[in-house]
Amino acid sequence: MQSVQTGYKSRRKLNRLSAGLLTAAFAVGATGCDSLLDVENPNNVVQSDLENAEAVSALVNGALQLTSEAVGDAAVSTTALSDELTHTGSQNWAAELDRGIITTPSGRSDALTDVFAEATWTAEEALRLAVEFGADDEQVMRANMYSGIMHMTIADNMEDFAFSDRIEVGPPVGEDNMQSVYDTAIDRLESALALASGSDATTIRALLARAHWGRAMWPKMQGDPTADPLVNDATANGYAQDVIDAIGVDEDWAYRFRFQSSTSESPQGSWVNSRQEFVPADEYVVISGSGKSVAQDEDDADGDGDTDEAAISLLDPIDDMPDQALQARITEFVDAFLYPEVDVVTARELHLILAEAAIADGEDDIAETHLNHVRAMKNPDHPHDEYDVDNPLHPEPLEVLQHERRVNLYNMVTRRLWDMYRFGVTAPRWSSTSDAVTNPGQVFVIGQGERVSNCFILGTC
Amino acid sequence: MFHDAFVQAARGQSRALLTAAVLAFLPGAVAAQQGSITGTVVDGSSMRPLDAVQVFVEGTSLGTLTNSSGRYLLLEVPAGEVTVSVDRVGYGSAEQTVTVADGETAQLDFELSTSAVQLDELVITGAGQATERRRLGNTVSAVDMEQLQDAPTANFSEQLQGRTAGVSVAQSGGMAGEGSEIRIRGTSSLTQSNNPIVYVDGIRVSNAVDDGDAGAASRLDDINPESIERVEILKGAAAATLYGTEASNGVIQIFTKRGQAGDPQWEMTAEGGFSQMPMERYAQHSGFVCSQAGSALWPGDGCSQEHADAVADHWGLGSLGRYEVFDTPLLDGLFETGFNQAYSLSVRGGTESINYYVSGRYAYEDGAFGGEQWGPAQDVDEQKQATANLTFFPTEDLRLRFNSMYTERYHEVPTNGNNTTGTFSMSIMAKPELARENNPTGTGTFATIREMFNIEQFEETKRFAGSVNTQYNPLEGLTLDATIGVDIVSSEEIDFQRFGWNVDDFANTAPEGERDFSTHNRRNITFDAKAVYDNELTENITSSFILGAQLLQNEYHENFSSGFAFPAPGLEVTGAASEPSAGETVNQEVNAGVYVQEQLGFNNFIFTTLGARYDKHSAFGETAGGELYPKVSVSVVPTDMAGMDGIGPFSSVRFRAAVGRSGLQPGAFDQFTTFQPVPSVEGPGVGPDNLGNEDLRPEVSTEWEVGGDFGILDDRFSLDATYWDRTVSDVLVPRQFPPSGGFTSTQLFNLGEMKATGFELGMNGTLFNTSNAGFDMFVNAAYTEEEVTDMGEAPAIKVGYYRYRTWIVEGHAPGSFFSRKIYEPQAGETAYDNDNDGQPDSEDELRQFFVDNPSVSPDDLAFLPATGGQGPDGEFFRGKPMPDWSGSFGGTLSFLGSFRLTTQFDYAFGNFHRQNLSGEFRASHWLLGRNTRETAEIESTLTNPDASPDEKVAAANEWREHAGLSPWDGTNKIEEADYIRWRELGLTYQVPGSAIEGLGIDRMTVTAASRNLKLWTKYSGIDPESNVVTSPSGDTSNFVYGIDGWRPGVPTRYTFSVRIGF
Repeated sequence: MQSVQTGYKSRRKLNRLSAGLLTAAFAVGATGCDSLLDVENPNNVVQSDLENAEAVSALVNGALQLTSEAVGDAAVSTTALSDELTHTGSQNWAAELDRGIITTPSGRSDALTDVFAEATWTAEEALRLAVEFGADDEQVMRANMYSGIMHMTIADNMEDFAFSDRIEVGPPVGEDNMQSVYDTAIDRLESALALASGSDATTIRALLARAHWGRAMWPKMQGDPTADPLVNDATANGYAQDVIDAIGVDEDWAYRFRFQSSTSESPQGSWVNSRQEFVPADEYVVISGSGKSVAQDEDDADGDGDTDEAAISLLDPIDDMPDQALQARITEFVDAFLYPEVDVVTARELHLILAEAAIADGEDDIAETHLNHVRAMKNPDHPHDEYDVDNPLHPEPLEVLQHERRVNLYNMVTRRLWDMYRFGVTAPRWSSTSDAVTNPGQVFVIGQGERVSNCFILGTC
Repeated sequence: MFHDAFVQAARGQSRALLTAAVLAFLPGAVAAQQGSITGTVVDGSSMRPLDAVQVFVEGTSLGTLTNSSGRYLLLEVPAGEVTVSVDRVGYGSAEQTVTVADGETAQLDFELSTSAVQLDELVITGAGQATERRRLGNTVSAVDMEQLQDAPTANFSEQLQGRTAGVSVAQSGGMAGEGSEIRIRGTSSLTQSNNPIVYVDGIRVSNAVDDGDAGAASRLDDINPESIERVEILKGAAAATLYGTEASNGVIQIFTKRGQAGDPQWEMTAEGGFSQMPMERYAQHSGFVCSQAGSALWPGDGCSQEHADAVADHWGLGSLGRYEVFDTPLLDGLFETGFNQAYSLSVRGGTESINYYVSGRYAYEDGAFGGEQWGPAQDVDEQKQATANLTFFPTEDLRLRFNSMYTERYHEVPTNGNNTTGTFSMSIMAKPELARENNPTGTGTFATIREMFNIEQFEETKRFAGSVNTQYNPLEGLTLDATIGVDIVSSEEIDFQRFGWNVDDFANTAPEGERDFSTHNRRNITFDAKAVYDNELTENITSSFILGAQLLQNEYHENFSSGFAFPAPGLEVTGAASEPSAGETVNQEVNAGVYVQEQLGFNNFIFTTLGARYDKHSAFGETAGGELYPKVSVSVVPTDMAGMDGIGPFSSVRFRAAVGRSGLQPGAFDQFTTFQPVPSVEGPGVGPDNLGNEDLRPEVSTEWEVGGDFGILDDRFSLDATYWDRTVSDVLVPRQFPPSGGFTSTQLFNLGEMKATGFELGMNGTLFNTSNAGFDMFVNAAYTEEEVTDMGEAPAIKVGYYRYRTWIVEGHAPGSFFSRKIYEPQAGETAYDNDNDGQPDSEDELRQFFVDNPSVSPDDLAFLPATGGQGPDGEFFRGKPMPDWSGSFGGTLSFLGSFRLTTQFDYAFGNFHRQNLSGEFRASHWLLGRNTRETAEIESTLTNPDASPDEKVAAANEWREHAGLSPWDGTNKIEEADYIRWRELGLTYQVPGSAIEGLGIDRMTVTAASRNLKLWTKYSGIDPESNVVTSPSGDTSNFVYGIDGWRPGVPTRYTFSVRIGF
């Protein structure tokens, strides 16, 4: 009897428990659980978080990284297109570039359109917020500088480009008006210069030299690039000389984008060193037995006593020794593996800009001076012979200029490609039917993603 | 179903029996007044004994199964008059009344008639409430797992494959334990997951695929297949309305087995078998040493006789010329004979007040993908599963159910799929002319076969799902029901390349090792409560009213760490690497809704149901309004009218119609403009991520369907037909704004509309049935037509990787293929424009081109593109990736009294296309292809300076039929993929009762079976069912199932099993 009563009480408790649960259930349902619906998103930053002066630096830093990646991607693409790299991987766009095919909208053009746009917009947004919220001058200066670099990169690499803002669609600049993108680049860089001092000012002047030089080069690429190949732009020359004067003629200065494990990998390190989608071309280096990587200079062909360096196949035109600039650049590139730096502008390039201008002016002695400054920077411990413009055994200044640009600007965005176009050089792997052969001066086109979404291109605006 | 007898009783349908049950439950009565019932159940036509028939005493939880001789025994039956019911799929249910005397055994035999019509079957409607199928106006498909006991299935996905019209179960590839993508009635969403939601015993469970590696396991297959009693599938919005803002893809409800009062009933199964890849589906590898790849990448002079001699020596070919094309059995070493084994043991039993079902299963499969001679990577899936269900009746009006499921799983796959170090991908794309000692298969780039098999990727999962359900009947006809449950999944995913993994010194990706470690933690909480009130409004009108509320919370937390470059061998944790990194992702979603439904029955042959759910979801925020999803359905069974005995040739007829809505919400944070971390060398940074759209709403699926169920020849055959029509409005379109706006990824907007229509046909029945033999057959077919009817202002959307030619284009089926085409030459013309004048070169011009260029690569030839394409960017429509028709057919032949031969064929046809991307690479790529006989010969002819210009012109003309990849992606390899696959064949011997008498065994069957025996298709790729989908979670993965790339096809599996009940 006792057990029956206990069982009855337990059942009553259970009944009450069940009824309570059900009541709670309906109460929850009836209230709609509004407070439960407000969930947190700890993964990302929302727009409103950025709208203050303190947050601007985050966007400026983002602009730096995205610009670094964009310039790195441009470097991969144009060095794949030129004779600097050989395709040894799977990607079609890579194979196409290796064979001189550039104008496939869904190919590399598509990827470059995206990364260029993302970096440019971020820099411009950083600039807008920096001004709007009164960020300090350094942030405004940096945002201007990154925007300037991106506009210059776009002008260097694209046949046409559109600038939009979020969902506000902008029309393409037009193939005939791309020089105006250099103007924007120069405008941004000058704005940056107005706020810069010291080494920052030096960097921005060097960038202005490069931007003006590119602006002067651009019209040459629209016709027959070989007709009048040399650039001699007074403003570019002026900025270049300013920088050299500031840093000293022998200073091997460079402004570079850096990558490290806390950032993304360098596009060049990822595509070339790690994935081995490309390998430096055998016109430049000796390839190892697997056909996939650069051999080491085990026989010390350059005689500098170092056998751990890259084995170089391209010889100096003065002393016929493996080129030391190329050796240093490729060794450094391979050793950096995932994180090789990307040169944006260097003192060597500024010397070469001035050398080219001197050649254009017929002032070979000045050209010789600049060329020898560059040659001296290659490997101070094991220098090449000096170039003597009066030595009949030495090549003409233009030939030396081409060589020095080829080795000192190796792996830099568009430099070699433009030189090939304007000096009439074709890559051995370019197909006779390719864009690069049939239309010298051709660079990338607006990508497919933009073509199918920009109402100005579609004609639906 | 006997386990729902309590529910029936509570609803007032069996009040007398409930009273009997209550009386039986009283302690004194049970002890004093008990007897037994025994008898035999046979097929009424053939008089063959029927095993595994469910026999139960109405109004109690007493139940049992018949043994091999058709005999059953019910113990501890309350004395007095009781009703005994029997139920077996394929037969009409029957019940008889018998009087049980105290301490005696009553005899009660049954003769069952076959019945293909199952209108009396209880199904769980969209409110989670059991009701007879006849009362529903919408389609609920049921799969009874007891019928699949002979089927050669290894997991839940395979159990579902081909069982129901309109339900597609596609396994992406042939790895052991690989998950499948499930679609019900095609595509409901462009951007969100098209997988149905899944409930197990009333609680929402994860069916995600967290592992991003090709061949990954689906969480759906964690469920112990032996523990499943039945599966119900709610197809589309009309059926799934009460499931709310996540249910427009349909709902799969899984019900696990339960205990029953009576002695413990044990069941044991043991299964073993082997599997093999269908080698005839893989084209042989060919090459020649002076190929573009051979010339460029062979050490030294690639186009030399020395190279030819070395390659001939490597492959054992004898002599070999430099331009001589040779064949190799390159893939032979990649596959092996796999083996599998599975063991399970279960027991069910209990008393009137408590019953239990406990089950354990161990399964191990070493798949047919081999290559273990190359390295440690394996194709393995191992599962340890346990299920324990307890039902407790503490009082006469209260029931408590405790359900639990635990799984431990190890899943390992060698690298494959779209992976530069994929063992399979890089093997089928190998160049035999590059093979040598340290590159045995001749991979052209990235890594050698040995190196790739030194990459290990595996996933270890622990999962628990448990729920408590309480059902309380405070008043006659009123049932209060509440369920709370949780599904917790914790998976560790590891991709590991140990220090020095590049054993051939070929690969250069992370030569010092790399380890990626991720933990995926998911938690789904379900809280569901409802009140059901059954009432007779008048003598002729019955009412069943439901009011309920549901709360679903889903949390996902991923922690990941990565370590790059270990300082020395033996270090195998991420922290030991020289470049460790870490991160985490958090996601949370909450869905809350209230629902109401009224079901009215008129004279027990006309039924109408009205219902609605009001829903809120966290994707729209706390302050956003809710969504209302209404539904209405009608079911009429004219043959149940008084005095009606069939209509014409039909012995039973039901007509039904339903219309309803359900929804699908966007991702948790899709409405926000967000910026993602972009760290720079100068410090933390951010960059554009999601463009944002604060006006986002759920997409709403409105579906109506009409149909009928017909019984023929006294219900020996059943025919069911359903026509459905679905409109998805406010479609979440991934609008691509111009990338020049800075945000390069697409942003969801409620812009579009999609329409789909289809019909489903099902037929099954008994062709003949004699004492010694019988034949049951089934056929099902589904026709589906889909179209993206409106994309608002959004432009066409390219889906996925640039080589995939899948697009979302207004006026076409979602995921349709578009590609460029090569100019179709007229007489005297060629498809080439090598002089770049915009006109096709003549054959003479092409011949002259070859005179001028005596050795060219196929890539040097410039095709002239065809013009006039009406698709995006001037591309041409090339087909769609979903078939018009799909379904299955088969049957069971019983013979010699004790044998059953069961078979099933699956098919798909009609405007069904796939992009054979593997084939495209093999045909086209200079370094990763041109390794088929035809394309190697083309390249050999074009590169061989000794070949004549005429031979080169012929080769060039043939090249037009093979060229692919950018800029000709898909041009020649978007192919028709119609197929018929012999999915299952099983021969079962049911050991006669006389042979096992005295052994304590009730039932024993022995089965030899095979799965995926044979494929008939004109598709030239490996398998028309395999695809590149890895994690079918929505967005681009919705449509890339049309892409067949770098995946091994499904293997043929042979199994031998013994099933014993005792």
